[in-house]
Amino acid sequence: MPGWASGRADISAAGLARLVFTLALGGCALLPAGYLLWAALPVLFDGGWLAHFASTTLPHQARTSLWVALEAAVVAFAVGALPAVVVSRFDFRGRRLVTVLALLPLLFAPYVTAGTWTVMFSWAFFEGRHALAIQHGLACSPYLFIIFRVAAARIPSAFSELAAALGLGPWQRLLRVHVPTHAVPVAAGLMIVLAQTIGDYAAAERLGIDTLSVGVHNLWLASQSSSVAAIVSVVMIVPALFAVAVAAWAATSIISQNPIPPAAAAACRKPLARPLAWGLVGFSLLCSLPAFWIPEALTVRWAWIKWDRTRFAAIPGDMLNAAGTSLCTALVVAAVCALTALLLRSGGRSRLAERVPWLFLSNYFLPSLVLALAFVMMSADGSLGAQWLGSWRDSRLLVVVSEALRFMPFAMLPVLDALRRTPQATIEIARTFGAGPVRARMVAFAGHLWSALLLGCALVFMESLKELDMSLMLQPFGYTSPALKIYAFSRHQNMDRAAVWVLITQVLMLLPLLLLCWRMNRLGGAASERPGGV
Amino acid sequence: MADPKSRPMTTLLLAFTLAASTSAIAQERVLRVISDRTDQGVVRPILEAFEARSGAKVEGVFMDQGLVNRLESRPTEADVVITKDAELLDIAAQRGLLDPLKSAKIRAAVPSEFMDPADRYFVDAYRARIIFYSKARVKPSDLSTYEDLASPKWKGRICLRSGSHDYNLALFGQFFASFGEAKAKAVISGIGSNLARAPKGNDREQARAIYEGKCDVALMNTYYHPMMAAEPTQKAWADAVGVYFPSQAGKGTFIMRSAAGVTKATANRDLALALLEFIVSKEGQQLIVDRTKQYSVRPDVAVHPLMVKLGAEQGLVDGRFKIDFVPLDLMAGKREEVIRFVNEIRFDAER
Repeated sequence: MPGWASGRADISAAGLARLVFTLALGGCALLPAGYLLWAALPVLFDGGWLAHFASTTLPHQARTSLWVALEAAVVAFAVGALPAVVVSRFDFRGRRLVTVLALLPLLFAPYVTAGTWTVMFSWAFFEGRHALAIQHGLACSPYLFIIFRVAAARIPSAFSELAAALGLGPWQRLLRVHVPTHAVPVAAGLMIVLAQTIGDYAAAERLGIDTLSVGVHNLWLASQSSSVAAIVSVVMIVPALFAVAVAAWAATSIISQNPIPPAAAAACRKPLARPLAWGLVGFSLLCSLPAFWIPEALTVRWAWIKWDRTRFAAIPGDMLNAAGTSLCTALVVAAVCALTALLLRSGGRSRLAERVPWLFLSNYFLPSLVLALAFVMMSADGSLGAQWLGSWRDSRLLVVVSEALRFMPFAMLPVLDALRRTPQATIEIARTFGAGPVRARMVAFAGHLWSALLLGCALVFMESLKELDMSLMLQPFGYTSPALKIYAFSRHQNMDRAAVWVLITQVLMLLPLLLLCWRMNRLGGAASERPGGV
Repeated sequence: MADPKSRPMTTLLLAFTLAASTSAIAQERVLRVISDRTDQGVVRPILEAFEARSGAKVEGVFMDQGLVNRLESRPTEADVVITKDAELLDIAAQRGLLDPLKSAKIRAAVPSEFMDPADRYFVDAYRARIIFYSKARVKPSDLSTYEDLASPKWKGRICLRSGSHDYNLALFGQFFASFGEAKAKAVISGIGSNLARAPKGNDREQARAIYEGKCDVALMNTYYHPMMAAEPTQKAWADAVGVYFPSQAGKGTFIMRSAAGVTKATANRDLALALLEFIVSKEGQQLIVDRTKQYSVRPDVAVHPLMVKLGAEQGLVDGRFKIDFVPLDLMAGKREEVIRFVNEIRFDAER
């Protein structure tokens, strides 16, 4: 039963406020997709675009997208989740190195990696769908590493040991211990990989893979019609909403049936056999070659070669622009997440509130150009959006808001998770000691929620810096950014001239990356400082 | 240390300077241009030259995806629209997003075939979509027409970018208008079945594929040859390919047109027209020819020397070639027909 309805007798003002806030969150999350559906419905069969799409390229493209997404998920779980669990559970020389290697691909946008691959490798394999899947898998692997590292660090291994002591076999332990304890990270990780892969246009188009997103873009850009874009987007929006809803429901239901103690103790790490440790370090190094080191080496080399053709005068302005936009995006996300933490009930007492914010993931499924188009349509002259925004419409505000909606899950899901692990009793006790509602929550959440929020916002900042499509479609007049420069050069096969701008973006991302590395290494207490740990 | 007695004078001077600069800022007019060119290096020199002569500041939005949609959503946020594909401007015009030009200077400078009959936009330059071929594996005598590319002798030898890209939509649309529907469909299907790989990448990517031996011929825009030759990393691609203007013995070669027009915004209409008049002036056209390696619409602006070399082997003089000219108004409706057809035959599918 939803928390807001659990005590019908005392539906208070606070309960009503929570309900309103939860619904507002859901409304915000679904705004672009909802708008596109609303725009599509009256003209869904005009000109038969949907029927045309369904009877020509859609089945093949949907199949291709699904296969690429599943392959990418396998790669991402192998490269991101597996090392995360091992790093959380075991002590070995090289743990920190594995962590750093796992996070380094965050410094590259997928379309940049695709560009370097196509320049570097002319072997047919690197132009095929498997290459696209590997590329997406590698690009998503840092998110899975973070998700699983955070999750595994707080799941006591005692659960599994207790189950074993009670005579449960490996399969039973998997089903009754590991699946429930990892339900949320698996669902969240899978959704992120599927969304990024299915929603991607730039990398697939670059490699000539006929995916669903490419099909949607082709029909939209060829027809230059917003209606056609809305119509064909329906085939992505509806399954995406369904997938996100099922993932949110399944993940939270499994948890509710198999409750994990809130604020569970950190995993107790055991030593890892040296051959296995070296194997993991070698595996991480190998995976980081195509995901980071080779593109990075090429980028540095190109930047060096094209140094004399770089317009240095533009660099400070572009850096400030990009940093300003990304900071604003991260702040908007932080504000929404902080409000969520302050207004919603903690301790897993509000199923609806736990599930609704997952809907933000549906925006990640939408190709970002289509998401940007939704904002263009919503803020059209004479629309309510344009009236509300006034002259703000012609600023970078729309870029910030659309990016915040798209990247919200990176911060919102960890915050929800932390919220669930905070016993409501802690807040209530703080209240009985005289703390106000906000102060009580600040104290109760201090240990883990704010750090989850900080990590999430660091990720949002990095993603916003790399983001291209929203800036391209919604840029105000006179706006420039490194991402736009990279795009302009790479469109003409001049990846070498884009290199300096890639490096500038990476410089801006260094601080949040260091923060992520530091936080990842601190997770699970000071076990790494024990003898034998590194 | 400053003399205290000089402070009032300094203050006065500062106030005067501030007032003067504020006044200058207030007087500086800002012209807003929206364009589907992402490489500002192509348009910027023209805009800068205009800034220098007009005293106005030109601000731009450069987006090659969804330009018409943005224009449709905010019809008056920009004063001028510049596109590399005149078809997009024609779509914008049909949707009522452009204002009639009513400029005697533009009418005088631009030949009538390059003017919109309703005077809403004009073609400012053009390039040909021609055959690039492997110098090592193809003889120029093997090449003849676009239709010939559909013949079985080219099976597995052609590279092309997406059939849904603006350039190919414009080319295929001209096939429809010039050849008639049945023949156009046969040619497009034939080219599709002769592709060596799934359509991918941009035009330069096709030249690279020829260089790497993945295919023997490609359809590309003329200016890519000198542009690749000027880039050290792409020079080998340019050196590996020859260019061939198809159908010179027949109806001629198809062209891609870039174009410009003014929006319905009224505040800066005079400045907007001034920019367009500068673009069609001899100076403006020369800048376009120099920067973009396109062909000027003005007969008195010579073809760029690097472009003169193209087609010389074919016997073209001064870089001039025979054009199968399809007026843009004849292309109306063809675009949707082409989109549906390339999807039906799954032109872009993996091979």
